[in-house]
Amino acid sequence: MPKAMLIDTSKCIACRGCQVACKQWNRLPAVPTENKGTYENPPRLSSSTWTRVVFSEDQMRWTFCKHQCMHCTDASCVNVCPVGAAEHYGEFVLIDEDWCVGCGYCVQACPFGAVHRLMPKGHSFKCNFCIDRVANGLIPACAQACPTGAIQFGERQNLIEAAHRRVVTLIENGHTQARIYGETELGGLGQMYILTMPASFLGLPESPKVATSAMPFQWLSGFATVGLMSLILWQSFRRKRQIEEKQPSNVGGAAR
Amino acid sequence: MWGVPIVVYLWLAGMAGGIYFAAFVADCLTLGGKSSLTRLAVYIATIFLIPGLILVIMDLGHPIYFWKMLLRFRVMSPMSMGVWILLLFLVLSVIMGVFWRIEYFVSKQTVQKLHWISTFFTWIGLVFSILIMVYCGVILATSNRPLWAGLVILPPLFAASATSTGMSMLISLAMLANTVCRSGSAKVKLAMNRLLGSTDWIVPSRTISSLTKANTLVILVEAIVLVSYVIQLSVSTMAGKREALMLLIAGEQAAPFWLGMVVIALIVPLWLGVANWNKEIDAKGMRHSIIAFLACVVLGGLIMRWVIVLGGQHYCI
Repeated sequence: MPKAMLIDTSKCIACRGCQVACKQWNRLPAVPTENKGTYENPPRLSSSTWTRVVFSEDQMRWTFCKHQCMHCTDASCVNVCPVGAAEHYGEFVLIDEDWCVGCGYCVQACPFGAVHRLMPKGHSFKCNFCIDRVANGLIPACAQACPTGAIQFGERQNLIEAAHRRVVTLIENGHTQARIYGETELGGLGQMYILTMPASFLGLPESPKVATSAMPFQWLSGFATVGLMSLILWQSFRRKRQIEEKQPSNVGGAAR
Repeated sequence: MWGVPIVVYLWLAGMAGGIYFAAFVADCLTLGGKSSLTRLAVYIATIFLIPGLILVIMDLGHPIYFWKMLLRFRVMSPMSMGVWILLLFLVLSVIMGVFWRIEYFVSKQTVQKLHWISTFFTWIGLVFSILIMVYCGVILATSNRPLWAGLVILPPLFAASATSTGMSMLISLAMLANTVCRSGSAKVKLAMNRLLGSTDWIVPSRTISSLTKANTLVILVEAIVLVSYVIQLSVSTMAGKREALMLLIAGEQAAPFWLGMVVIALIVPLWLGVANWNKEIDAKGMRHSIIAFLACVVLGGLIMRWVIVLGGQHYCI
């Protein structure tokens, strides 16, 4: 049975214990912080920050959402990687550090902005779902550290069923926009959410797309343009030849 | 973050593809059927591609592991496709170069017998040049950056720009080569003729004139494609697309966009092309006008890639 993670944003209190646990377990260095007027830090996901809690505020509510690699079933990073370093290992998407050449294409392709390359030189990094812990029967460090139960790790199907029950409860309690995010997006995400606000409000794309979804049409449109260019060239040379045939004496330069 | 090396690489690669494409089509459409313009294009394209490839390799996080890209062929990865396309085009260029050198040392009858091989290579080269021109746009469009993501119009924009910059560079170098052949010493003429497989190599004025006129029309198409690109961005429902567009037309990238992509790359060359439409190439003042036209197109192509590649990474979802 595939494993997954479920983030219940209605339970998150933004203690950021998950961020600290991730840094500690994966031995990631600290990064300079930025004052944005909230406690939200590190300022962005990076090669040394694989998860962070995003603070979203409006006039009435303060909502928190843990961002990280979503371990998509239809993963853009896996599709575009030129060397096959980003691959599915079971339900997890991992980057093979020994194979990654550091081209940064996965960084450009990820719909969640969750993959980052070590700058100025180095390969790509992202959340690896604590594969070393999971392989040894433990749960990921962030889920282990969460004090409110906002991060749950387990069998995907069980989590989906629990999420549906939770959404019903939330709607009954007045959270009319409550829904599950990640159950079907991109073929199903390894990290799912229970949202009480629109996804875009929490910094998530409403309808994420696989980077390669339109690729055949992109190639075709390019070829069609080249065809048009050929026609233009053909027409230009043909017209010139017609003019020359009428007025052969006006031709300048050497004739072939 | 893809930086300036990628910008220059996309510019050089697109131009290399455009040079070969324009030269091949021009040779096919010119009475006589000799492929001397294509020969010139192969050498120039190779010269452009090699520094481009060096730049892109140096931009890798691990340049020393570049060879790993040559162990895999992944159809769904435009970068993998691009690496193979460029590599095969370079190999083909070397083969063509060697073949044309061999032609020089064998009898005319043997050359005529082997002519089909040369023709076959040049046709394969055409396929690869088209793939290079289109791939430069596909590699960006196959992403999730708002300014590039999923846009079907981006490859046409890059293909049109590759054609116009390639044609401009081809015309410039053909004019330069003509000058060298006409006024250079006998040794230089001999070397040029040997290199290009001809007994009296010169690009006719009518070919240059036709290429210049075709280039004006290509720039017109490029302008239409650019307008379509802006419209596609403005009507897209994808998060961040409109914000990215505002960054392009009224934000940090506005100056290079309007001055570089619109004025230098499109309006000035179009104005020059239309103003000189019916003038003969050897007419007084035409040389300066053509040089200004070509310089604007080539520089504009670089600015276009600069704006789209760097601007595309300014705004993230």
